[in-house]
Formats: sequence, C-alpha cells, structure tokens
Amino acid sequence: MDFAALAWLIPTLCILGFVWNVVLGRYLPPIAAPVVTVGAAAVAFLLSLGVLGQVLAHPEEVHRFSFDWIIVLGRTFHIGYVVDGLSTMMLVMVTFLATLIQLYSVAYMRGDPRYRWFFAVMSLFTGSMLTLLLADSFLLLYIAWELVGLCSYLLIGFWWERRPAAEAAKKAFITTRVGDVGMFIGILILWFQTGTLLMQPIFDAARGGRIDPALLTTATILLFIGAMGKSGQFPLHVWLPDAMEGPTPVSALIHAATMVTAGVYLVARTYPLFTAAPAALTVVLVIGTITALMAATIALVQSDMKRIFAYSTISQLGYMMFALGAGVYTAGLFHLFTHAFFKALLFLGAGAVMHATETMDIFQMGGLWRRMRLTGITLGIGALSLAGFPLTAGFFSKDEILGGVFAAGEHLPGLYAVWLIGLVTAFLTAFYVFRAIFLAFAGPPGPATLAAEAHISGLLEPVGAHSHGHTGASDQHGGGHASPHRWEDPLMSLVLTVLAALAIVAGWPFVAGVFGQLVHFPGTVHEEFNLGLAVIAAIAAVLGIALAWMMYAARWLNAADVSETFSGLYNLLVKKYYIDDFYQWIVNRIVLAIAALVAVFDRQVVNDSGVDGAGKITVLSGLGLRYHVTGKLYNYALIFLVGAAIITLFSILLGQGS
Amino acid sequence: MVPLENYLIVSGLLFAIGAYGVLARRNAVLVLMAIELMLNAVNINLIAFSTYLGADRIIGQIFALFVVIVAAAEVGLALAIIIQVYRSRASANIDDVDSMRW
Repeated sequence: MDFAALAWLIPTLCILGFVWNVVLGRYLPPIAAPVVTVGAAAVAFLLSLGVLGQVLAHPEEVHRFSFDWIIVLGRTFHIGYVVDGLSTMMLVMVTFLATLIQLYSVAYMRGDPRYRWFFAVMSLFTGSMLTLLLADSFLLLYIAWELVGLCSYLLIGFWWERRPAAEAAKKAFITTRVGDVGMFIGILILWFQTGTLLMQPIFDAARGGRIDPALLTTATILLFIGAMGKSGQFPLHVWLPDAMEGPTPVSALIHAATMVTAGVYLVARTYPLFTAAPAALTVVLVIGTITALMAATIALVQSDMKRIFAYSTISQLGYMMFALGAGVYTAGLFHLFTHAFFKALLFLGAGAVMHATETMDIFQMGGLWRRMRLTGITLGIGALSLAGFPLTAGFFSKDEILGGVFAAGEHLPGLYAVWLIGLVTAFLTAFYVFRAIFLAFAGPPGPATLAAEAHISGLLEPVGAHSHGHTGASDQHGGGHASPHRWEDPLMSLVLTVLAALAIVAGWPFVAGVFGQLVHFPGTVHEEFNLGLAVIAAIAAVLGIALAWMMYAARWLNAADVSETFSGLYNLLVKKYYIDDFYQWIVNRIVLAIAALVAVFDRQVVNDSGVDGAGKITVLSGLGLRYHVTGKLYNYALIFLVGAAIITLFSILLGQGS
Repeated sequence: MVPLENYLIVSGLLFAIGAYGVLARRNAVLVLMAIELMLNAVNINLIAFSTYLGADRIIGQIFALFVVIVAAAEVGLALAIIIQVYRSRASANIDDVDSMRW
C-alpha cells in the first residue's frame, strides 16, 4: 500500500475532525468531541507509521506530489507535499504526541463548558501542523504557518474571560507576527529571484548559484526571523512564558513539542539555503546560543512551574538552533525528537499537579511525593531526561549535539566557546528543573498541598464551596473546573507513564540509528559517540542535580541567602533582563503614540471633515441660501427683470463681437 | 415721417414705468395695471418696427394682435386670482401674500 501517496490524508483527517466538531458536534453528547479528535489523530498516527515503514525501506527516495492550485495572469501557483525522511519522522512524532495529549485532555478538560471547542481547535491545530510538515511549497508552508499561529492564539486564550489569558494570546500572536512578516518578505525575495514558490526548484537555484548571494543571505535570514518568532528565540521569545496561561495540554502540545519546533523544522527543511548562505547559518548559531543560555538563567528564579518549563523549552530550542547553526544537523533534529517527549511529559505532569493542588506556584507546594507518587516518578524521569542524566533520551541527544559541536570546533574554533556555553547551560538546566521538582515534591507540605489534602479527604464540602484562595498562580483553571476528587487521575497517569517510558527509551542507540537513516544532510557533522565528552556532560548534569538537592531538598544552603548575595544578578533575572519591559516601553511610547496620531487623523480628517463634512456643507449652504425665497412677488419680479436685462446686454455685446 | 427712435423711446419709457409699477405698487390690481402697461409698450415697439421695415412686413402687427389676446386672457385670470386672495385674506396687499417662503 502506497502510504506515501496517501500522506495527504493525514492532515486532512484532522481538519475534517475540526469541521465535524464545529458543525455537527453541537448535536452530539460532549464525549463525541474528543472521540472525533483523538480518533482522527490516532488514524493519522497509524497512517504515519505506514509511511514510516515505507520510507525506511528506501530512505533515499523522496516522494513528491504537487498540483496546480491557482492559475492567474499566466502564473501558476502549485501546492504539494513532500514525503522524505525528515517529514516522515516529524509526522510520526507529531501524530503520536497529538493522540496522547488529546487523550490526556479528555480527563484534564473535563467539566469545561467549551469542551467541544477545545477539541475542535486541537484538531485544527494538528491538521495545520501536519500540513506545515508536509508542505513542499513556501505558499502552503506559509498558510499552514499562519494557521498554527491562529490555533495557538485561540488555545492560549481559551479561557479568555481571564484578562491575563487574553493578553497572553494577543502577545503571542503579535510577536510571532513580527517573525511572520520577516518570513513573508524572505519568501517574496526568493520568489522574485526564482519565479517559483516550490521549495525544490528554489533549493536547486540556490545550490546552482543562480540567486544573487546578498539577496539569498537576506532572504534566508528573513526566513530565520520567522523561525525565531515561532520557536521563541531571542529576542522574539517573550510570548512563550506568557503562553502558559493556556490550558496545560495546550502548553504541552503546542508550546513544547510541536508548534515551537516548526521554526527548527523550517531551518532544517530549508537547510540547502542555509548552506548556500553561510552568514545566515552563523546568525542561527549565535542566536541559538544566546537563547539557550539566557533562557536557562531566567528559569533559575521563576516560581511558576509551567514558566520554568516554558523557559526551559526556549533554552532547549536554542540548543537545537545552535546545533543546526554549527552544522550538526542530525543531532539537532534528534534533540527536537527526544525533547518533544520529555518536555510534553514535564508539562503534562505539571498539569497533573495543577489538577490536584490548584496552583502552579512551587513555593506553595511541597510534600507531594507521599501523595502523588506516580506523578512524582514520571516527572522525575522527565526531569532527568531534560537534565541529560545518563541513559535517558535527553542524555543521548544532548550529548550528540555537544559532541558534534566540539568536533566541528576543529574547523571553527569559535565553536569551542559554543560548546562551553552548552555545557554551562546543561548544568543550569539540571539545576533549575530539579529545583522545581524538589520544591514541589520534597520537604514539608506547603499551603496548597494541605488545602488539596483537606479537599480530597472530604473535610471541606465538595464542589460548591470551592473557595480556598488561589495563590496567585498564573494559569488557574478558568471556567467549570470541578474540584479534585483524587490526587491522580488514571487516564492522565496512563499518558504520563507512556511518555516517561519514551523519555528514557527514545534516545537509545537503536532509535538513534533509525533516526540517523531518515534524517541527514550531506556535508553535515555526524559524530561518533565520544565517551570523554559524554562523561563531562553527565558530570555537569549530576552537579546541577546535586546543587538543587542541597539547596531545596536537604536545605543545607539557604536559597534566600544566595539570592541576597547575588541580589543584583537576581533582580536582573527576575525581571527577565528587562526585555519584556523594553518591549512594553516600545509599545507604549512608540506604537501607541503613532496609533494615537493615526486615530486622531482618522477621526478628525477622514470622519469629521471628510464624511461628515460633505454632509455639513450641503446643510449649511442650504441654510444660508434659503433666505432668497422671501415669498414676496415683487422680489421675484425684480430678479426676472434684472436677469432679462443681463441676458440682453450679453447678447448685444457678444453679437457685436462676431 | 416720424423717426423710428421716437417710437422706441416712447415704448421704452412706457416699459420702464410699467416695470416700476410692478415692483413698487402694493395693491395687486395696480400691479396688474402696470403689467398691462408693459404689454402695451411692447405692442408699440412691435408695430413701430413693422411700419418702418416696409409695408410688406406685417408680421409685427400680427404679433401685436397676439399680445393683445394674451393680455386679455391673462388679465381675466389674474383678476380672478386676486378676487380669491381678497376673499380669503380681506386684503389686496401683495405684501401679505408671502407664506411660501423660508
């Protein structure tokens, strides 16, 4: 069965799921919505597996299908899809995670009044993301790119009655829009240079040197700007932490595993352009490195568990970017693959904690280990993977990146600095993630834990009197969330377990081998396993975990004292390097000022003078002229006579002339 | 023969007097009389031209005949209107007939 030829069905099923949920869902019981969504995603996953099997048999073969979509003024716009190793791998990963996370959402979103809409938009998102991955034309890519941005907006602002959520959705959309504009200009430049929007001809033109180098570099950098927006690279990262206002499954699927990886995917897909324009690749490298380190430092001082994970995502995406920038193609994408699993696990685990304790503030938690053992274990595994603890998936993928960068340092010594930064970031990563874990699970129970315990053991009245104070956590459940009846929901725990297993296994050599067969790029670094570097990275991870344990579990070092000592740095980090404040300043002083000017122009010139003015002139002139109708006969007679005299005079004068 | 200009001056003066009467009289009947005066001035004009342009050009006299007929009809109509106005307002003063105004 030619699965590759059926690949178009994969995104289409999910889009149909969306349409079904929106149009027919209202006539069906609420449970129908997730059945459709999860079902579509599951079938898509099975089809992806079929494609995988087929592609693995002949890894070098690329299947391409395109058809003419718009024919106008002698120009034809094609859209189509490409099935090769890269897109196959992404398809399998995205459909699998989508199925799992949507399944998790069945439990997590239970009781929400807009249950059906949630699953509808989830389906739309999945379909759009899959289209993005399969696109072989920049046109289709851009359409899908915008669609996933829209779904992100809709889902972040799912509980839009909450002001912070609405603001966060707006911020996400606008920030990624800045990136999208850059990307669009880049696409236009490529179109003007080559006359087509299909990717393969453009890549061939770039390789063949038929595109002006300066323009190629500019266009590629602009494409990367789009990737920066979607993947939360510095300086367009500001929307990701705020995006945590959305429901946790959204954070897991969109802002950890799939949409944010679209930027990395774009760089990978358009790699021929980057290799033909090395300056652009350097930009990717630098931005990725800065992002990785910066986000890790900010995560050190956050108190909201989801925000910690959000900054972690930004940091790990930075890893992927600088890997691609350094030419370590396969490893960078392998890290994308493993990261999807353990980051989704971490977010879903956070969601489980949220479900039980109604807060995301790690300082309000504590002592959850005795009460939520399975969640603790799975979160622990996810954290170990993120930290790069030996034998977890994260260890292998992060190690491949660091090893590859180190090896590439032979040709480009600057990469040693990048390697070092990567190592330091790994240490910080281990530290901040275990800081969160220890503060939440170890130690004496905090206020939220105790409140949840009282609730669950029934000491307080059930559902109605749900009034214990919300501790300023940033993504409280909006509407309709029933109070927890138990510590751990079985469906959620099942999904967590599956992901935990993958967070360990997905990085092991046999997976890496298959991965390497599918995803590679000629001329890029593909390094063998370097034991020395692996040990160094492992030590960094263990040191990070140890420090976190000392400060937050065993409490040998007092964290408050540490932040006092380094108060200058601490404040800088808490304020997130003032980047958000800077952007807000720009918005207030520049954007809103210009907007005010334009508003004044619109109101006073266009509306009052232009539109109303035309009317007012008519009325006023009428009011002025009406006085000539005196009603008196002799006035009219006078005007007759005067007029007749003038006409006679004119005709005499004109008659004399001729 | 009397020069043409004499007739024209007379008719012009008559016309002017008639115009003055139309514009400056308050009583509607007097306005009518002034209008008659203007019409007669026109008649004089027409007949003078007719005589002086040659006896075969009698078109002027025919035109004058038409003017007389129209004048007569118009006066009948106008007097009827004035009588109606007088009956409804008890005044023949044209200053009072100005309700169709701003």
